[in-house]
Amino acid sequence: MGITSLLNLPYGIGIVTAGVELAWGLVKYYLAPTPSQRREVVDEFYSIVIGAILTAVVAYYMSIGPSIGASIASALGVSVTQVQLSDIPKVMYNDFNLVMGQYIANQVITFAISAAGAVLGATEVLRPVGSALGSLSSFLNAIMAPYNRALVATMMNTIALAALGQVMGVMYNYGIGSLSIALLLPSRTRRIGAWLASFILVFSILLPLVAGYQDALVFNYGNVFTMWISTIEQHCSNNTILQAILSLFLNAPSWLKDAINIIADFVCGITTLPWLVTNTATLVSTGTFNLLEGDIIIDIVMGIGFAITAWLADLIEAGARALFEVRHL
Amino acid sequence: MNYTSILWGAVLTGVGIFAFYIAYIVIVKGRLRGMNITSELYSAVGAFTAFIIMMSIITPLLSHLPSLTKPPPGGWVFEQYDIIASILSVVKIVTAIILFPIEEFTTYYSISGIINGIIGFIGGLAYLTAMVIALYKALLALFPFAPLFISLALARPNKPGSIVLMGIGLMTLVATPLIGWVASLLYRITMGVITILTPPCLDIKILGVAYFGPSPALVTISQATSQGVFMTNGTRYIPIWGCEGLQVSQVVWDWLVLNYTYTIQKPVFTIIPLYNGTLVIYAHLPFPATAIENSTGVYGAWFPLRVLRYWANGTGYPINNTVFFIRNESVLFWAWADGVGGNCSLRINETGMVKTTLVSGPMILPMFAPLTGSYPPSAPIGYRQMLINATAFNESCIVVFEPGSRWSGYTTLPATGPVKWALAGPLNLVIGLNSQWSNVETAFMTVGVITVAVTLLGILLLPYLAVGTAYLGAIIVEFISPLWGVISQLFPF
Repeated sequence: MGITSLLNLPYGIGIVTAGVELAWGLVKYYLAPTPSQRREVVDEFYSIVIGAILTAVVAYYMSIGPSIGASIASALGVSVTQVQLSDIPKVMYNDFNLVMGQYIANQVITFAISAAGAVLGATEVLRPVGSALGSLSSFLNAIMAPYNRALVATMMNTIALAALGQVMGVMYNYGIGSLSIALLLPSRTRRIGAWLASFILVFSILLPLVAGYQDALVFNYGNVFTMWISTIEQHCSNNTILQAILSLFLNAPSWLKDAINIIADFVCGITTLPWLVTNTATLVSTGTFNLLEGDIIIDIVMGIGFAITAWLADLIEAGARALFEVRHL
Repeated sequence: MNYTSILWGAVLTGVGIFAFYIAYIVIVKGRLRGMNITSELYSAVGAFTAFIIMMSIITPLLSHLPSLTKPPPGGWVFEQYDIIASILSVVKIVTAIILFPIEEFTTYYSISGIINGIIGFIGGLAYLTAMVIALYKALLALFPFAPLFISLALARPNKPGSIVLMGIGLMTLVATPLIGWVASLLYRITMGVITILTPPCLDIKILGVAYFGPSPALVTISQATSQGVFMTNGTRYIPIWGCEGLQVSQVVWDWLVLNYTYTIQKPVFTIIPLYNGTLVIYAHLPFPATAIENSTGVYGAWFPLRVLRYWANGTGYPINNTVFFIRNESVLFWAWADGVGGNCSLRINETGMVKTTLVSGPMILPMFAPLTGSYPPSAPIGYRQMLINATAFNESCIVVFEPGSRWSGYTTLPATGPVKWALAGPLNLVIGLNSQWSNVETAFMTVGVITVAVTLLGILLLPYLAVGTAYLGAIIVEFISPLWGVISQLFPF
């Protein structure tokens, strides 16, 4: 790595700032009219050197934050995916897509069955079929209601984590972590520097940890609806009557074929009702509760993270004042 | 779970933090850098003392709080909800299959509304319970770290982050056992409600009904866990529990108990899901009686049992369903009517040849009864069961049977098996909640008290902590300083 590459992001801003302060120190040193004032500038120089070292440490710290987070989670007995800071928005976006996809699929299928029921019910002959389909859609709606609520809570969490990840990613890419330490040096920017440094110190670890946990949650419990449909499909694949009926629609447009497939699977599932109820209850309830519990844990942990950030900011400001304040002799 | 020992671990960590903090102020700031540390030391020592006092108050208090119980299984709550919601939804499907072909839309939507109400209520209850259980599990994980948060907050009491940390620490410490207790209460409430709502089995079937006999009859069917009735008028299908056997236990026509046989013919092939065959019932009186009926219903029955004597040119025949003509005959009639009259010699004896019974409509909440159809009154009015000897020798005689009260009925939706269970849902909900009412009251009151207490603590107490701890610290430091002077004389390094 060439020396000039140090000026690249993410280290660049901090180092440039530190350099400017160093230059200003040198100017002050040479322009200082008395030895005691020169002594003050030497003090300031030491501070800047310490600040520059801290700048590099923080930049490094931000890069290893995710692995620290994963280690902490592992020590607490929680297995999480290790997500890099810059990847958090992408990973959360994918999770959001998956969860939203489940939610939409559930709503669309419920609506489609209900609409098909309404259309068929408008004809005299197929009215019973229409009514049965209408009831089938409310069956779907009822059993999936808690899971849908859990999905909405998860979506909110993924959005919040993606937004924070975006902020942290930008901070990392633009060297705000380093800048925050540089901002601790001058007294006028010390407060904002302390807040930024505190935020970065806390969330460099916490955010990848929580995002990894969220990702693991979504991976395990975010596609319960698809899994549920798959188990019904699998269960009904041996039903010869159903397969015979489906074979009549082999040349139908794919959307029609898919719609008939799903409705036929549900009808087949209902004919073996005890299996359907037991399978649904086991699969959906486990996914719903675990997703819900995970969402609450994430909300609490994030709340604590912000509280610790505020607490630590004050401590950092006090520490920086003690460390970098030049004593006027 | 012995959380007291866990707590003490965290308390000692808090003590360590304060020790480190005070040592830093005294050694680094005071000794090495020569700064004026008086006010900061007062605050730190005061905060340390406040921490010790707070822990001394809270720790004994905790032993009076409910113990940290194992969290109830939240997944189980959703599992039971899903089972009940699934079965209730299938009842809706069955109801639709039965009611839509006969265009009983209003009835269907009423039943659908009732079922939606039950699902909505238990869904809300299950969700609330699962949320509280999930919160409790999350707080349990946080619990051992609570004193740490409190010590961090007290170390710098007048800062925004400290106030939040104090809130989190106190809430975790005090509210975790309480929320665990509330979670257990809610779990018990939900379990009470769900247990009473749980269906007898997970399989619902539809049975076609084919009835051959005096009509309309009131048929009683029995399954292992329930009994249901329906009028043969209007009934084409009955919903039943698929996992329980079915018997026809009684067939009644005009309050007369009929003799009957029945079979269940299994379907060879059906495209209707849930269809489980046809219940074929053959019912009859001990003799082929003539029913006294018109378009509004049945009003009795009679039958010429035997011609006792027959003279020359004797004859006898029915004129309509209430009048019988005889000439030169002596005839023995059986009648189920209000009375009998005639212009010849009649000898009337009360009899109990055919068993009679009181009838009851579907055993569901009265407000839902109209949804299922109309049923006859429970007891007959103005009926006598008679044996009548009418003799007309060398004369013509008209025997007239007087009608009793009306026997009539029509079933829109047979309240049997799962439909009866679903319609009993609202009542069962009330019974379930009543059985847990003290828990319901306690749970909601506790939640209210916790919310108010935490809010008041946050608003009123914390702003004064900074001042309070500073004064406390000043007193202690000023008290210890002379002692410290003596000690430093003893160890002059």
